[in-house]
Amino acid sequence: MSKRHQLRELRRRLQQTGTAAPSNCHLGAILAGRQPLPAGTVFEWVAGGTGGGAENGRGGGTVQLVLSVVRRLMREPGELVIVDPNRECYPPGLSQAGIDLTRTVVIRPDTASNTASNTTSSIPANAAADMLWALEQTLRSRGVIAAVCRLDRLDAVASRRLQLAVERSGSRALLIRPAACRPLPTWADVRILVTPLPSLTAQVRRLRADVLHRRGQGPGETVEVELCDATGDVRVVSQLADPTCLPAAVGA
Amino acid sequence: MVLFHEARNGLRVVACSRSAMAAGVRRDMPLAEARTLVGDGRFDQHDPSADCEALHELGEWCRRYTPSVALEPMTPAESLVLDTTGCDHLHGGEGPMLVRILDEFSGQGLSARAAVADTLGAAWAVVHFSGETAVVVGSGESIDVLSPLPVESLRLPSEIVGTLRELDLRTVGQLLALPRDSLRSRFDPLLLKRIDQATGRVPEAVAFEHAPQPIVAMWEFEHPVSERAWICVMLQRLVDDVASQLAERFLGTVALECRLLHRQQCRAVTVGLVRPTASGAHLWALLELKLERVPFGDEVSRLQVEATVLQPLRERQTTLIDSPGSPDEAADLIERLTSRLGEATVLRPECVDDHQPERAFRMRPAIRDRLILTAPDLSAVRPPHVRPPSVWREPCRVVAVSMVPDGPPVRFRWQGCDHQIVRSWGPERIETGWWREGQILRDYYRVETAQWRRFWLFRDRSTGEWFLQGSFD
Repeated sequence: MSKRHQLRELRRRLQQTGTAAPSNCHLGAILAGRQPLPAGTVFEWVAGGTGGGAENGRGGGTVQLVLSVVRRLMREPGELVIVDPNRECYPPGLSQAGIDLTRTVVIRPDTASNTASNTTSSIPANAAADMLWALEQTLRSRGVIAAVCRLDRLDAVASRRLQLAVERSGSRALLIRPAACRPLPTWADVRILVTPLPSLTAQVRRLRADVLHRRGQGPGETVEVELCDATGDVRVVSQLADPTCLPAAVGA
Repeated sequence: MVLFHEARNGLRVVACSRSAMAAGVRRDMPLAEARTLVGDGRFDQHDPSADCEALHELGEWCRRYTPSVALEPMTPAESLVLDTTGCDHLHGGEGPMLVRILDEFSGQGLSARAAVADTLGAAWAVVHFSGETAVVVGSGESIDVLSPLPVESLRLPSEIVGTLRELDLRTVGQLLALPRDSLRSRFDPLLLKRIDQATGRVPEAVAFEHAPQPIVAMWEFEHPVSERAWICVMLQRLVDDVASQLAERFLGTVALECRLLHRQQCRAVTVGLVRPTASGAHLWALLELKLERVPFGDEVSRLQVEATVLQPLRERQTTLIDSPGSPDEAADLIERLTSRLGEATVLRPECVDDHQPERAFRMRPAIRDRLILTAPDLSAVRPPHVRPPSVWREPCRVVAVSMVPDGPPVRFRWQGCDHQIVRSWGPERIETGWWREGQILRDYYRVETAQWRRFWLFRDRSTGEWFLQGSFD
């Protein structure tokens, strides 16, 4: 092995030294902002809930919760990449959630043949392949803080490739998955189910996050959070605290 | 259209369009007066640097006639100087060349006047004061042509022109009739200098900017080939050749164009980069990604690779331990993604100050961003109203029920499911002016369903129909 390769390998190992093991991360601490999302991990966020729209998780607040986690990562240098095959990502909404658009790249694979993205999640095969290729390339890059992608289908091989790419680069993958994927196996480090709960006010909605799976462990903690639509602020609900304190704090 | 600038005595007109001129607008007129004449016209602040830049670009375009092109040596520059010595015969002579130049300018929507003369001074005078569109001044005829023209045609300052007018010296011919010694002793030396420059007695220096030598590599096959592997091998060699040429000149490129030619057909593949590079391996990796999607199809007889946009290479201090999140890594990623997926796929979002939701943002190709920020910028201005993170390309028509006319919805049906609305917030009324194409009149509501899902609906006030525009996923 040449000296150049040895140096490259040394750099890579040094970068990974500080990486937190996924088994040590606590969802409550991550959502409250006390702990950053560990580098080199894949998080799957499953959009749960019941009733109309449950099958694709529309309106359930999963993306809002993911954005609230991502915006804290934007204190680090690097780019945020959003893979958006359905062309739904709305920049004013991202900006409102606190995402720095000047460091955000949106990848929209060509889905010209898919004209009704709002009614189905079907993506042409070539666009799906492009999406996975782009996601893997993104996760291999050390210039990326995190990649966010809504993935309705992900086979085990592709999942493993993504996990290896993230592990090598020290980036983070936040995959938004439909409820139908719950029983399927995954290579993700953590799988979280997000379920909407009755809200308190117009501004603040309440969500429950259950850790369904953590690598090397079984199901884990359950956290209830309050999320402000207007600012993207998240507060972990304490069972002992007065639930009306957040609306008062945000002026709702 | 009227351009104005801020003069000592207020805002004054600098230039105006023909329609504004027909309405009575004149140069140096007060802007307020111009506004009364063309109230519905467009008024913009004059930007001399933008004018100069546009003239420079036009000069680059004129290199098709001659390699020696320059801006006139005056401030502000308003004319282009072309040294056509040895080039006119390529266009059939000086007269046909002028006709062709003016035709091609006209094709671009530009009106121009042109003249060919022995000296820059004579050509400038004829172009500005002869009143003709195209004039060819024969060799040695400069003095005859200049004589009837006014003294302003000698590119003189207004003070000297004023003095000459006081002495009733109105034409160049009158000046030329005077003894040179008296001109030298009575007037500014610039007067004699301009006369001599126009008549060719003294040379006039013009700083021509020569086009840089193109960095290009070519390969011609003995016989046309269609084997993809062979073509790729040769292309890789050509890219390496281009990279070595770049390195020799300490330059990098941000755009590489590859042309596959056969007979009259040409297929071009262009690779864009975020920052300049002279690395053959990097350029080839990007080109290879792009070529994966290009069907070569027919035979190819000639290959050409050219670095089309050159920039100086940036020097960067290397470190033993590269920190993650470096701009170089991000730039590499954007280049790779764009090479394979195309410019229209890898985008940088940007908010636009427009209240119509569909027009409240813009997507620009990320490859066009030359600047990659390294410092966090969390000071972005947030939209004043609550907006969802997901909005569909086209609003989806839904069947909704309101309890009161023009009131909030209480139920809507979407994707075959009934959604009972338990809470709603709104309306947020959004309207656009009648002058905008596709005028909208909408009442937006944020709603929460009985399953605690939140959506963004609007009622089209012109038709009364309901549409689902987005969701708070």
